[in-house]
Amino acid sequence: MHDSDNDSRDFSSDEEENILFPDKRAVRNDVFSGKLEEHTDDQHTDDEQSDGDEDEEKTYGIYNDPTERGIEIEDVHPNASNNESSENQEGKSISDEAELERRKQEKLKSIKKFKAAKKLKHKTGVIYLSKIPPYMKPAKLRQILSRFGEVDRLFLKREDDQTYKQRVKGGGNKKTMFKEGWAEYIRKKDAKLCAITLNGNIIGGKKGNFYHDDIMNVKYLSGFKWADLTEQIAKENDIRQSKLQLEISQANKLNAEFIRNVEKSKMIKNIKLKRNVDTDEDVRRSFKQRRITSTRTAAPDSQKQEPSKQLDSVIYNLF
Amino acid sequence: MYNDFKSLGLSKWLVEALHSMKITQPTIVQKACIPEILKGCDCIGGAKTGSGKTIAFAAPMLSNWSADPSGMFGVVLTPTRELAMQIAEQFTALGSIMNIKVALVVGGDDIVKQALELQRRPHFIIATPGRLAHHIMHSGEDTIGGLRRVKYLVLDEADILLTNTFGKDLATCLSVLPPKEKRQNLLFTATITDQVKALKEAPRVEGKPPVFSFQVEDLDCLAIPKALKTEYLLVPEHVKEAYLYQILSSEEYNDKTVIVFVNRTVSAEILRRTLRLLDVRVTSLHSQLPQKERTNSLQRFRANAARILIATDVASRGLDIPAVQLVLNYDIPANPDTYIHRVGRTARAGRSGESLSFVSPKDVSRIKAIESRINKKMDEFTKVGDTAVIRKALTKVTVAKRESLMAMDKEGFGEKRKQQRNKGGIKRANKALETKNK
Repeated sequence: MHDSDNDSRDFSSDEEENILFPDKRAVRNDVFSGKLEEHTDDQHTDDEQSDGDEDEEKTYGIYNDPTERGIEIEDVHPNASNNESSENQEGKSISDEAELERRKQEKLKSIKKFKAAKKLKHKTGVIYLSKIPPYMKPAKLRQILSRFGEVDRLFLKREDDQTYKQRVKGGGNKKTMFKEGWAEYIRKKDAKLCAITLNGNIIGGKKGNFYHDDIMNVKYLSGFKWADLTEQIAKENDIRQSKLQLEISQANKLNAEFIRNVEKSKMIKNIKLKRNVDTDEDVRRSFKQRRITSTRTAAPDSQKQEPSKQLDSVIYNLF
Repeated sequence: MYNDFKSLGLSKWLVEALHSMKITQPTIVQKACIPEILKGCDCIGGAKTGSGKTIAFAAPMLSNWSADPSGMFGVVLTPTRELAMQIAEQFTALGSIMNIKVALVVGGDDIVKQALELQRRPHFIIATPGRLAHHIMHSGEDTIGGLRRVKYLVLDEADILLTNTFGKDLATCLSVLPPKEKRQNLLFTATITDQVKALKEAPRVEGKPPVFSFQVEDLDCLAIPKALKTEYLLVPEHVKEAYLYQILSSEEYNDKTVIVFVNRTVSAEILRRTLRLLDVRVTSLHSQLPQKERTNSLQRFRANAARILIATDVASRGLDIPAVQLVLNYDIPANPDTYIHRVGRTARAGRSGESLSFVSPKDVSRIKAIESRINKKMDEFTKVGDTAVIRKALTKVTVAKRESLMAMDKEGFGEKRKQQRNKGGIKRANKALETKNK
């Protein structure tokens, strides 16, 4: 169940398009490579710790929907569900639905906190997979990667629709193929271990396994966080949202103006009715009119377009 | 004079086929044109929209073809893909008893498939000029060889085909057809343009009967069907969407079938998204959709799965959708004749229909031009008032419109076309350079 829940997110196409990492990584490498990479996970400097905090916040900013987050967390941590059941017993005695709803929210919040706290204890590590074995599904890959430690988020990029169509058209396999992917380990250590062990090696396992002989290509992305992947999309979404708000408020101003004008025109009409004036006023404002065109013989020449020479030859050849 | 198709001189099987399609009474155009075409005259047919022009050229061609069923008998050129499909359907339906083979050669479809189809020597080719020209330029002799023996050439909606837009492609198409003396040319149009007039007055080739022209002179006065109600509504530019939504959801119109015409593909897309966000069953038809979607949405509209069709002028000509009750001109067309074609989508073949035009401050002179063209004053539309719009639609629609604009921005609507246009610009620049260098 855990896997399937994650799968649905793994396929999400939102993250697919603008995945960003190269520049960020380069910069970070410059800054940290000298000193920080040599530290083991337990010996963080304060500097790095605070940096990590920022990253976590960003991550949660992206997942606006608490329920989606919640489900996943419940599955990952059995402790969390214990918490829940104790609260549930209390909840039964309260019949009020609103109260229940509130409790649910609280529960979710506490789970979130718990999760955040747990994550904070360790520094997360991200690995990059430049090739995914043909037709391997996220669930299977997660299983393989989980050998080295707890995997949190996993994102695989699907192949283009175009290539997929071409493959199917040419009689190829109809399963989805993934091109590349990223995985996040809860512990940095595991990520590094995974990269060292798995990179350039076959997947192994039982001899007869379908993926036994596939060679993996894994790179540990040092100084790189999951948030860096989604940062650009989140930023764009934010910009779009604020732009939308701005535009709506502008449009509302226009609307208000329109409503005022409608009321004014009603007033003027009423006044006219009372005074028994029914002549139209002279023009107050004139608008630039849009162009009229015509191809009719009867229409004035100013509206017509000049016919090209090619057309004349067509006409000559026609009749 | 003639009261049924048989007395017009059509073959027996064709009369039966027409009967089975519930077409028994020939219309005026058909009565006039069919005997002349059967005689072998070139023909220029002018008739208002929805008067049965398609049958007027299809029937005599099929009748003559059945006497000697040879491959590549006739070519029909139309300005839009949807119209070509509709005509192809009618040909197939009429000729199915005689095992007719009709090839549809339109853009947006598989080129290779079409070429193969052409190699099989279909009896009739229904085409749009651009794609046919492409085949002529790029395919071998075995594909297009049959075109050299074609006996009929039909230009449907000739007024628009004989403009600069299609001129180049038409010239290419004509280059492989047999010379003008050896084929029969049929022109059908609802507007008489300079070009059509020039054709009518063109000197005759020796040994050929004179051109038969029908209603060419007095066509201008009979523009729109009598049973059509024409109305207008004065609307400021920026609240048009709100009015549209309010009208479409008003009691009077909330179950009617409506076509909304706009001038630009972008506005069609905005409207479609906005109305979709507001839970209106709506579909759209414009040139920036992939052909598959174009066909689909037209089909959905025909089958009444969507009540409202938002369309640009690709849908303004020839399309026969009997159930349309209201044509709404969201934008006013520059050409008064386009207005006539647009409103011609309703009130077809003697039915009644309504048309409503949104008039923004900048469109007044256009409306005046249209009124003088159709010889009729429009009435003011009063079924939906300002208060209702303000109270029920304005805020909702404004938000929906902005949201759809954002979504379009995100998905990059229109980017592809822009790129293609740029590419064209580069090509042109290169060509200019080459000629300069020479």
